[in-house]
Amino acid sequence: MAAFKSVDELLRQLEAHRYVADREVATALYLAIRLERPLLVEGPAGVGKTEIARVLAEALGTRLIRLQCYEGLDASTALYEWNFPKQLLRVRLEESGQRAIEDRERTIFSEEFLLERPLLSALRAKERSPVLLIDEVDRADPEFEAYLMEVLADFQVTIPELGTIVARHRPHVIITSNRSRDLSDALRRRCLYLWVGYPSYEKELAIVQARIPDIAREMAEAVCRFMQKVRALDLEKPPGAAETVDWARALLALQDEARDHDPAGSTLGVIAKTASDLEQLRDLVARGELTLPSVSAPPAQNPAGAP
Amino acid sequence: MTVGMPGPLLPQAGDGMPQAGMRLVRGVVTFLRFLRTHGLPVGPDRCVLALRALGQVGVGSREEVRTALRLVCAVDPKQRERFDRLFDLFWDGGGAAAAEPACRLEAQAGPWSGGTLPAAPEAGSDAPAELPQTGALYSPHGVVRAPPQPAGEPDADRLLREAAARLARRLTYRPSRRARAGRRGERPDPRRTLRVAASRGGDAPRIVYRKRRIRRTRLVMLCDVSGSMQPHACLLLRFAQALTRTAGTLVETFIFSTRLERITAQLRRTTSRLPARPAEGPVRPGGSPSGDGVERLIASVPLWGAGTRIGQSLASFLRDFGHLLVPGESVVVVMSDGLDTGEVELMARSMARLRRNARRLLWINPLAADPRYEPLARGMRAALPYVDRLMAADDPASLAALERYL
Repeated sequence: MAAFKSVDELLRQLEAHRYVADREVATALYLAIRLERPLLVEGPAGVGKTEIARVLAEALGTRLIRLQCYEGLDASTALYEWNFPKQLLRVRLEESGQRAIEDRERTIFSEEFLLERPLLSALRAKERSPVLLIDEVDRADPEFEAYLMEVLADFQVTIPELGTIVARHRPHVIITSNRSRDLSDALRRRCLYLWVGYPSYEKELAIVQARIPDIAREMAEAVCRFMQKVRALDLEKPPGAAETVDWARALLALQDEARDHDPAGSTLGVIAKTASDLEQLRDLVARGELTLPSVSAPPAQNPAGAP
Repeated sequence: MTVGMPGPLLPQAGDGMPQAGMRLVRGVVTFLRFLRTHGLPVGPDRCVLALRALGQVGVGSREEVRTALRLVCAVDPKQRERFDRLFDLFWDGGGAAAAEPACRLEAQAGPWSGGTLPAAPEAGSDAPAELPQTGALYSPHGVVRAPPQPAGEPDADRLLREAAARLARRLTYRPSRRARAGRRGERPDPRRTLRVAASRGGDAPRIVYRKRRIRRTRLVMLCDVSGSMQPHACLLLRFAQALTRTAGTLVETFIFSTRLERITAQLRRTTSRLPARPAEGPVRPGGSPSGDGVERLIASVPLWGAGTRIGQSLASFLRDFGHLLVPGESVVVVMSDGLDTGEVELMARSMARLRRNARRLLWINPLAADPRYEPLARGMRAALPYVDRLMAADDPASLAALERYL
């Protein structure tokens, strides 16, 4: 199934869905789809790693299935579980029934009592390949990683009571990691690697304008210039593009209040994620080393309209 | 066809299709081998993937080729940078890399014998601008500068290993809040009990309890290897090596003097070469056979003998490897004598941030073994308020005491 015929086409599709992509991201997605390999996306927080999966699913017109990893995640939580309270109830109800044991057993271990979790959902997609997002895989432990590799190698699992389930449509797999630990070699050998860093000024401007079509160009530019300076500082938790968009939205929403007090200074908490970062930013602004974008109230509307 | 690519490795006008294809294949294979010699861990399996990738995006544009190959070959940001430099070097035909590729690169495919590449540069000097700095610390032929002499006797080694083993066990067993099923425990687990009951027709013969799950602590060791630390660093690094061997992924080790380097991977590789018994045959003077690997590692590090910038090294640790502390269950151990030539401000700030992000912050100062020692050096004084515990560690016994402070 040829979803996209070229990198250019994929790029156009991504932009049509309001995702500002550079060529590298588009090439990575293109190759991941064509070579049928998982894509491992790493990078600092807030740069849009998860977004990539979401927009790919939209562009392909398919479902996004998300598996959020955490310490202690195990196969049953990720793959499937039996709904045993319901099973228990059915067993009790059928106790006095007339049906044969094999019959009852088949019912108890049937689809009706199966709780499908993300991995199984991804394997059993009926119409077309879904996008399977495995988020923050570094938070799960190495044992789970090994299990994941097994599943991703052949895209099939065996459920003892139901048999072997093979994926009819292989999911497109995107894996993200925060690099809090080294991932296993097996995983790395299997994947293509994409590093998404903080955006450049131009890219960030494009992102803000794509996400907030209403924003005035001058304000978008001022916000982006400010953010580039902020990232050059030595903050504990540098803000990502997500924070930039949030802040721009906040400033836009508070525009009307700009006559009374400056929204930019009071909303710095949107981009600073720790107390010491906030303090540092406020300090620099107070000393004049950082200039906040100026937010001016919109001109009063003329109800009569232009002639 | 394409601008800037060396002749023999690219399809020529007048090539038939099969020849053009073969040239391209050879070009890619040679390039990947070139990458491998320069420290990028590109295995043979990546070769097929690289060729398939090029098959998809075509070789029409240099940038497309670069992007596609980089997606296959580079694993983290540092490797990406290195890849870019090596890509330009190889395909621009600079140096001897591209001329007569078949024979020249055959020679370089073996162990890095230093043919056209310089040895790792001295700390503080500028590497020649046009050749890439590989950053590889471990070389089989050894870039040997005078290695520090005192090496442990086998006895000290054994003590070190025992101390490390105890410590490693301590690291892996810390009760956490997450619960796990077990026969005895504090609270009954209704879900699992029901599950067991379901498999027995609804009767619950026993109640499944929740037991505390074991949590693992990560240990991060930052070891000062500058001139003033020379006599002690050897011991500390051997301790780190023993720890890495027993505790595996839970231990991360870094060395610093004027800059910071991560040596976790090297320590892991070195341990795998240690013989089970002392090797027969000539033993290097001043070195015990089982410590051989670590000494060569230390000898190959171009950081000895330079001044120390502790604050700056800690800051670059936080910047480049701060994500290792994210899980919040890390114990950070700084091993240094505190003699800093950098800014005190920076030292204090870095220590404050370390303290905030680690569960425990310990400092091992060899000078503290002397009972008359008082931390008078500016660096040490600036760091002291943030340290949970200041310890001396000049012999294996005191290193074993580390366990108490985890």
